[in-house]
Amino acid sequence: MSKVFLITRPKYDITTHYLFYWSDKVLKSTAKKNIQVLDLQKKRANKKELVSIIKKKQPLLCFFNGHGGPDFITGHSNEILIKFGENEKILKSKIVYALSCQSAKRLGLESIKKGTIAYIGYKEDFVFVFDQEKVFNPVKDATAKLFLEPSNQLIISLIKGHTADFAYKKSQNLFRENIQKLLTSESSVDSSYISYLWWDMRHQVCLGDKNAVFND
Amino acid sequence: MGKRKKKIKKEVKDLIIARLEVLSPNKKISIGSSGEFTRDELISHVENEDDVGKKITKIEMEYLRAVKEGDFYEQSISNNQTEV
Repeated sequence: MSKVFLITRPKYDITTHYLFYWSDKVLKSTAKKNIQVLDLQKKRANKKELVSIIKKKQPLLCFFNGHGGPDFITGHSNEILIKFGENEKILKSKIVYALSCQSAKRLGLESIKKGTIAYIGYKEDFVFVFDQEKVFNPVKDATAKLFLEPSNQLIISLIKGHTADFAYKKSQNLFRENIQKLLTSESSVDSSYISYLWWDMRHQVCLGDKNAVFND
Repeated sequence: MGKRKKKIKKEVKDLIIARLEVLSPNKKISIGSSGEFTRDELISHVENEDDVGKKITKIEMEYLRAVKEGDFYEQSISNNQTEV
């Protein structure tokens, strides 16, 4: 039986445009791994489709890309997909990585109480710097890579079957490596991004069962 | 009684603006659902002390505080995490 992996990736503004293209790399990592991928992309990243597909397919691993707040995660055009006090129960028995601002603050914490196995996300806004000249080719944006690669590393580690804690630490280490790279850079422009990397690294959290793994 | 808006101290504001001035004009910063901003836009948000200005001030101050208190070097230079 294949493992089921769900990804939401809306694409309606510059931020979600970047997350959309960077998540392609994550999808490539699922190839040849006996994983069934449920890709709710662009307009399909809506509440109706999400709730229906979760009920029907029961994915064990969920990766949410998009905007958010302390209580919620959004999809296409800022539609709220999951909200604390409303439908956080749909995350029960799941391992979640939310690349969605602030959602670990309350939604993450409360969903763990309601049975989510592990919730990795950010307690504050996820911030990233990008090159305006690379907007049409975001995966070639070396500046955005500093921020989005540590994020990708996390979900790719989970897909490979590592524990939530291992994936979290792998991501933290990559943030750290990127900070070190900038610290030793001769360019003062490059080093000005350190505060943003530090912010993302410090506010990324792993809640729930640290030994959770994406296995059959 | 209405909630008083917290003002950013002038010396803090000057410090943050000086740090933002170093950013490349070709880059933008995505701050979640607040949007994407150029260096000059960020400076003007800090000057206006609006929500985006306060957010960027919080980000910069958290980093500067971590450098001052040694947390930054402890966490980012010394790799004290589990081997992965």
